[in-house]
Amino acid sequence: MKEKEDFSKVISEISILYELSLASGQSLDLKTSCDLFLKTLMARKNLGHASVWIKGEYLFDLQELGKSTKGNSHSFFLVYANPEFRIKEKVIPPNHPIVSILKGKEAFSIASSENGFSEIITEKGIDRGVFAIFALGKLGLLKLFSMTRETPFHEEQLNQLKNVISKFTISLEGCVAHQKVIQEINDRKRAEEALMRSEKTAKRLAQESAIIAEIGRIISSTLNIEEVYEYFAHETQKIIPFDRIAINLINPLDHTVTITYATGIEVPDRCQGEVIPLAGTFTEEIMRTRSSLLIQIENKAELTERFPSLLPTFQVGLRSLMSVSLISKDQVIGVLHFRSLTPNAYSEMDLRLAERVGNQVAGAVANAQLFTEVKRVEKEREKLILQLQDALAKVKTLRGLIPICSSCKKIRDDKGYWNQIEVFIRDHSEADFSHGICPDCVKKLYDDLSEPDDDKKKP
Amino acid sequence: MYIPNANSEEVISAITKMKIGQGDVVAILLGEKNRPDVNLLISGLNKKGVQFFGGIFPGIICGTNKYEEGAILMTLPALGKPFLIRGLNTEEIQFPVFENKIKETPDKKYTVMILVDGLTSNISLFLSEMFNRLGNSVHYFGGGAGSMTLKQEPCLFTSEGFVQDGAIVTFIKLESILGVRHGWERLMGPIVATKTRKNIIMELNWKNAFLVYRETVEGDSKEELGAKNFFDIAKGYPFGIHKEGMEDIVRDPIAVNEKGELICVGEVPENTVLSILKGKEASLIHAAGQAADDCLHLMEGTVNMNLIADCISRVIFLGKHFTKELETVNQKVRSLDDRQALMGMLTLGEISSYGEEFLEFFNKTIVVGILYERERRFQ
Repeated sequence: MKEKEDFSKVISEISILYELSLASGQSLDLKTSCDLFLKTLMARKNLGHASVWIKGEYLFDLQELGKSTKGNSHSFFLVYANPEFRIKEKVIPPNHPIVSILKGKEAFSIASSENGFSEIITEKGIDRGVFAIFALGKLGLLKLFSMTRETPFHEEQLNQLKNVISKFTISLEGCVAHQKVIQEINDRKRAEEALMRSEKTAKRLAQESAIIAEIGRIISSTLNIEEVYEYFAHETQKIIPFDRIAINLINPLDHTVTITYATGIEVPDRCQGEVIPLAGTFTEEIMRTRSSLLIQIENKAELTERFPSLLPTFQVGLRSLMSVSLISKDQVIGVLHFRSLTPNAYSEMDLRLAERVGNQVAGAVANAQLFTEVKRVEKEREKLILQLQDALAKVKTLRGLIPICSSCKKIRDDKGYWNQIEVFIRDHSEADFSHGICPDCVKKLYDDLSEPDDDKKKP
Repeated sequence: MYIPNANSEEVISAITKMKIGQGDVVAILLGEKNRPDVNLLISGLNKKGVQFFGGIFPGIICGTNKYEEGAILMTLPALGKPFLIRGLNTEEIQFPVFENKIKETPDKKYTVMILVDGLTSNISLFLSEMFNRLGNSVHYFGGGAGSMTLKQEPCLFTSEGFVQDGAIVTFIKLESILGVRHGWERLMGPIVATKTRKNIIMELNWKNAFLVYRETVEGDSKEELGAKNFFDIAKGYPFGIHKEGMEDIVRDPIAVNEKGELICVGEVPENTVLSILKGKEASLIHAAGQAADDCLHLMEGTVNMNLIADCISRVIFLGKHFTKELETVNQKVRSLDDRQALMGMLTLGEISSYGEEFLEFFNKTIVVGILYERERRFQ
């Protein structure tokens, strides 16, 4: 009878070990592998807690654990616990009593009635029961706990589990190796993605730089910038899509703005060539703040309260506004405006790009303005010179040697005719004559008519 | 309290007459026959501001009697209102945060009462997650609700609704001692469940599950086993999952499908080592007495309530002798306090932890729970 019972007991134990051995190695994921094996082990052996601790040097993905293996490669990290309710410590140092006692052994068991039990506890709410600790090869250790047991696990019981746990260890090694491969693949993937991203960025930056250089080349190819505005807009569209672009130049003396160039969607009262008051415009805000502005129109009321001049822009359906200042010699000389029908069309990156385009435009516009000014001044100077030359010519004629009759005072001109002196002077100067008779001649010609009292009055 | 006529008005009226203290919840256990309109019951109790939970069971137990109709009403001192958890049929069960519901003290463990839809899938997964959250910081008592027709329908309710594929978790502010026994004995084994899917055994020992099972059962029962009489014969031949140092955990095969796969109440993990068990009336009744004894010898307080979750399949197997099982248990638990009658339910699967350890879902088992308040010791 006893023999039969013993045989039945052995069969039952072998059966459980068979099930346990099949429960390990079912997954390459560390946690799943632990879960599948340890839940079966806990159920069959009626245990209250199980936990797996792995050395830092074998772990790669510790983000989830919220720990770093840096400087902790010999510490043991908690990678699985059931129930999680009991978790307290998550890392134990290499000189922890559990590790020290396990050193050189495959397993040991300790009961709460024995010395050293409390030093083994890394969980919450345990003050009695029995631990069984197994080495997981070089990887780490496995802690099993029973609250109902009062005596340690027998050597026979530990030995029974050793082989199964050895198989579990091999499956964990597989998981760790798999995790390493996954980590390396992920690292490589991340590196490749970063490379692709940087290549893409470099490509984009190169393209942008090339276009900006082309814009610079176009607008500096002539001092008459108006000739190249269309081409400039065409090139700019390649890097900053827009539905309207405009260049507004500030007239500081009369506080107005001239819409020097505009293309794309038409906005009423904002056509090319129009001059509008500076006050209340977006341009004024930029001139005042000297900074670029990016506005995504969401609220019409708020927009019109802040920039009433933008109401026509909103009404034609433009929803994204980006404007950059054109600065020359530390003065805001104008504003480059981009407009789009698409909501939230522009980003900070677009704004930085627009500023680079603006810098190119500002220089060219300033040069063009300077050129126009120089030409105007030159023209005026030439006109003045002509006037002076003309005047000078006239002054020379009168200053030259003038042949005059000593008797009748007639003057001979270049053609040899004798002219009355007043006729000659009138023709060769801007002077004219009014004729009268001086008192001496009056006396001489009209002596009988002269009155002594009048003489006194006349100069 | 048992009330035989369980229409919603009667139940509400009975509850309003009960003495319900601050923080108490009312447990309502309904027999599946002539049951009340549960939605009316919920709205009526909600209007009265009563905290409650309940389930519909194949039968209910009061004292030495079992009933297929009527209601058992109990007030329980609770730690907050009951938690209703839905979606046990999915593998992504959404748990409420109840880890901080109790503060564990070394010498005091409260009791968690768990009712589940006994016909849903993933009950073991649900219990495993419960254990992961609460571990053995509490004692667990409960069982599966549902209908003997094995047709799944809403069977659990709280103030939040009437659901199927759900569970109700109630924290009871009482300590407990649990006895878990079944009395089924090994007939043949070990056999390995070499291919399974949740509660379906597809292969045993790498062969068609039904063929392997039939061979043993027909050999012992001397009756031909087929799909039509499967339940009638299989009720006496459940499977047992080996568990070291304990009785096997029983899995109840209730049907066979056209592929020869055996459908059980409760999951059977792949590669589980099983035995085919056989029951005898005497061993089952003896085991029920042992379950009560397990409680008695550890008792050290004032009894508040004697609970029982007894598998409906034991009723089917024991037939008229089932009363003897109840008498045995009732007699033992009332030996502590004669005023406290045995109350509980006939279940589709039982829930308890074995002692202080792993939480399990059982079949064909009896769980006896004595809820008590520890006696104050003056020093």
